[in-house]
Amino acid sequence: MRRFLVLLFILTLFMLVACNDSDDSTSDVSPTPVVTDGTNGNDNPNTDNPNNGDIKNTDDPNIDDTPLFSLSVGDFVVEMNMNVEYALAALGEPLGVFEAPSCAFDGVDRIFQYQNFQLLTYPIGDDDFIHTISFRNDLIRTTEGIRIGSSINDVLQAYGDEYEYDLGLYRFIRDRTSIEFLIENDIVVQIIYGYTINNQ
Amino acid sequence: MGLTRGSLFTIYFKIAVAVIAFVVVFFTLQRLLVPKYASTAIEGGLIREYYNSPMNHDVIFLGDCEVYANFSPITLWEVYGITSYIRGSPQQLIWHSYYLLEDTLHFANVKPKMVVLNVMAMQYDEPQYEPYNRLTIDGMRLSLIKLRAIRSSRLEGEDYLSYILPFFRYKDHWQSLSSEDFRYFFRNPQVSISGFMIRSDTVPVEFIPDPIRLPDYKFGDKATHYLNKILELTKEHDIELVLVKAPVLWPYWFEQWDEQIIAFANDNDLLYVNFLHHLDDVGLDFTQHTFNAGLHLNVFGAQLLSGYFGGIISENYILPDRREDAGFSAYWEELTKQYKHLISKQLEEIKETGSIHSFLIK
Repeated sequence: MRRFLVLLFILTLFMLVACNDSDDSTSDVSPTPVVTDGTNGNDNPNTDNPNNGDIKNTDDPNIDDTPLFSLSVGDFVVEMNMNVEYALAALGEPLGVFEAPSCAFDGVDRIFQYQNFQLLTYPIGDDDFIHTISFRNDLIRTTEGIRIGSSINDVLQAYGDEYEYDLGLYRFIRDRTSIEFLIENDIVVQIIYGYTINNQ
Repeated sequence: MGLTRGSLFTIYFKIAVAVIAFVVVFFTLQRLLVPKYASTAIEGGLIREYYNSPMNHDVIFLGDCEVYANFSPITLWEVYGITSYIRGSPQQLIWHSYYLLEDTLHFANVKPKMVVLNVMAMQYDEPQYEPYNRLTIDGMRLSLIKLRAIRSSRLEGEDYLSYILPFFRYKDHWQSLSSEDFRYFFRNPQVSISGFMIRSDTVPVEFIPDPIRLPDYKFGDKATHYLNKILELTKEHDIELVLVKAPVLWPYWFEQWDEQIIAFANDNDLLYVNFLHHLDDVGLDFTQHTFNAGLHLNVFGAQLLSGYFGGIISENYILPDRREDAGFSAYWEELTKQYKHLISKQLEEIKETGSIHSFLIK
């Protein structure tokens, strides 16, 4: 009888260890949406060079050499998934900063509002990384020259005809970065840059 | 040559003992490994706490953090004698709310007279994120209702079995067990007062960012379907349904969404209160009454809101004042004592250290 019990205990322990080997993306202990690795293969983007442009996962064979979407503001290039500290250093003090904690968890999403655009970030540890840029007015253009008020034809001319479309939203994707144009009456009314975080 | 009756008995006995031992070991390990929600993500303890209450409340709140952070059942009790419970959980989606209502009607000892649904979650038409599903569904008692809730809520690739046997979800936790896992092995920490989470600190609103325009403001089919199911279920049980939008400034509540809720409320003869239109009436001051810059009210804001809301529902509906009822008053007086004790403790901590450190009731 004792052998039975010991065997059972060993079996249960074995199950624990064996299960642990599985590549289960939902296996973290306390359910937490805080991103632990959203860096697209680059452990900590921009830790040395704020504008290094090296945010592509070079191990991924599916990635081609097409440049990722980024926004030029004066001489500075705001790249997606960039540590926001570097952007703040270059762009200056924002008009306002809004902290949006999730309903339940540690970590805070932040919104940095400038005159012409907003930077939205997600946290990893003590750092914040840019996952969204949204335009606030027509005083700023994308790197490809599109602004709020441009026509859909301008957009297609600048970005080509490979896009996803849904309910007036044209979405162009390059690797983990995207740019979306919301079109009403053939005119751009909103522009948003996006970055897909690893586990989303 | 067959086995003797005696040896057969021995074999069966050994198998039975083995099975029982396996079950005991398995469930012991499971209990050890599941999150206790005592020091992080304590909101994860909200849903399960309901079953420790008398389950005899006249008013049930359903919704996300816009209910469990913003409405104080103690104020409703103290001012109006209304007994209420907040069955809220982080990012509770409309189908979660529906199944929690079913669950409440199934397990409650006394059927509620009113259900208050916060409508913020109508913006979501799909499950959003597995950890949030967990925070609602893991806390539900095992029943057919829970199984249906899992089916409606899980994202692609989510394992159905792990909701029934959470061991399979939290198995990796054995590598990082802490004293909390042992301390709360036999009892869960109490994280709320009748579903309300107390925050006595203040972080004023300084800035609200622009909302980002949406391509389409129409509520999705799934959300609408479950809103209708909530309506049907309340009608079936002769329960008043009241719709509310809590008075918090972010995430943004679009006018186009509001119009759809107003239309739904009008079509079905429901009361809908968008408290964003009543900020002055409630007496809210976002330099004083929010603990995270406009996302949630602090306990003092929640008291104002609940006082105002209690006035509306007590004038418009017949809800009993239970304050003189001995069957209720002892329980609610004890809750009130716990509530006031934690507020005092948090205020003391703010005074001494500038922030609060105590979140658990006990």
